[in-house]
Amino acid sequence: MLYILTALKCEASALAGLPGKVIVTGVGERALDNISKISLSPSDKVLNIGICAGSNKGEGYLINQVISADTGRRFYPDILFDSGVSEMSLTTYSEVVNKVSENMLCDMESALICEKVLKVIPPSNLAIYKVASDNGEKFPTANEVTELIRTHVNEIRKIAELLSEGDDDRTYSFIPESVIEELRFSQYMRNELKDIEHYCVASGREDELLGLIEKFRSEGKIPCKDKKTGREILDEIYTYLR
Amino acid sequence: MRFTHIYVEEKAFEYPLTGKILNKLPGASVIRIKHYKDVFDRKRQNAVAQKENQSLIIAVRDGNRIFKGAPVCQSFGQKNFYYSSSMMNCPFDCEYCYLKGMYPTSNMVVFVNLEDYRKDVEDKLSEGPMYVCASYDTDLLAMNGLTGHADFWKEMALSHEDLLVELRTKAAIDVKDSIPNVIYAFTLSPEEVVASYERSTASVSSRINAASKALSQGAKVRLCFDPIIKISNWEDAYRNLIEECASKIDFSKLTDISVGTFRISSDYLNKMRKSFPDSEVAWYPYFIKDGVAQYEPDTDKRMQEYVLDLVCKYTEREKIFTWN
Repeated sequence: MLYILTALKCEASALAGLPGKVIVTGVGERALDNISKISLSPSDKVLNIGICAGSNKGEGYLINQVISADTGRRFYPDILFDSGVSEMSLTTYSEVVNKVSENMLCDMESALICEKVLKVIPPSNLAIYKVASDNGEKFPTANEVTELIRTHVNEIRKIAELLSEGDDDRTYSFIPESVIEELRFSQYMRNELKDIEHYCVASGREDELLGLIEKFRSEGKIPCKDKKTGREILDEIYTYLR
Repeated sequence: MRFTHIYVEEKAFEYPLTGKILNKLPGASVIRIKHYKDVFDRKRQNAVAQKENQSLIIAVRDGNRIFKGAPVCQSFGQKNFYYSSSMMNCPFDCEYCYLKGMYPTSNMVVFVNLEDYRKDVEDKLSEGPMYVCASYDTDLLAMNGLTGHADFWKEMALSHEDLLVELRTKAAIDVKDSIPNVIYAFTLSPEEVVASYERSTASVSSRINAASKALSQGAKVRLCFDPIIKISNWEDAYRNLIEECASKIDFSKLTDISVGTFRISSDYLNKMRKSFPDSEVAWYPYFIKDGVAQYEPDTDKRMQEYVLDLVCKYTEREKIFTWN
């Protein structure tokens, strides 16, 4: 699942129709509470979109480094796709910044988002895209923000699509639970079988393992009498696969 | 080599090598960082995806730079066996490589404070001769055009007679020198293994040709049939490989030969499995013995002896080193 996080409603309103679920987090520390409500899983993707202070008003950037001005911590989203978008470093402040210098972007949420979501998802599942809206002196109106984001929506859509690519949770288990029950395995042996199944999927040998289990059944070895005979089956599987 | 992102430690900008490397990589995003570990050691990195889009980290190595050789590594009978990591991670993508279990990332690090390495080696040399494998945790020869690290180690060998340097590679490098205390070690695998498990490396025939040419230049050459990988037709594959080698290389001129089956610390294997869930090599049901994962002992022994016998047809046994 792709979550698209924006701090403001006026940012989100420009993003209708994008793949993923748009969530308005609120500004600054408030964002943390709302992000905490998302039950992220390690395969989820997060795209943070928003305005920031920067000298090149109207420019959009992918963020390759986020620095927390409060803690000094640095975060690095892995940009593993080629979107052609310019990249910049960004600093997150807990208070409004009234002056920005050249080659500097500032916001109030990114570091908080990084800190929270990178505890769950890989850095390659996080992308941050910011549009410089002001230089800290004159803030845009809500309508202006919506328009500003809207002018970049094609770029944002491209990033969202690239970030969503390869979004599959592959499973490595294929032996029916009913068969595993018949093997009378201990928990340790079940874990061993899990690794064996994983190997068979990685090497394309699932059918061989299923065929072997059928052979054991036809020989009367399955269902197993007890853990000891289960162990013997497991050892035979190892011998065959090795 | 195409790096999309280059992370540069602030203090690395003070070293001329940093500028030289950056000049060779125009178009990449350069990101100024505090410490290489902030990027290299991040948690939950997707090493599979990173391998397709490798980033380079340019850094300064503090602390230990020279390490005692590990027990699973071949010392070739040398006392004072050390290895050095002036780079971390590899431009190649070998599915069985222990680096996949050793590092939490596929990104590469190049250290630019080579003069500190020089000093460390010289300090150790004051205690006696030493043997340094400089290209264990990377492929210095493959990266030499960008980093010049292999040249650095060759210069070190030239200026220190009591230093023996091994430069191991899977590239087909053009050796033009013959430094008596530098060993060019070519890792050779059957073409089937190269095609399936050694992505981006040079073809085996080009490596064999490169080794042959290096020998004809008078360079010291080591052949490494290590790791031997168990593929379905491994006997035929390794016989063909060694016959091809023998047809192009005069084994009597080789410094020595290494033969060893695949083995990896079980700790690294566990990490490798987590990082590379679709790796057939990582998920193979190995036999764990004394914290080392390897093929089932009878198979392991049979594979090593088989390859050893093949190599023995072309050279004396004393020239061949095995890891157990």
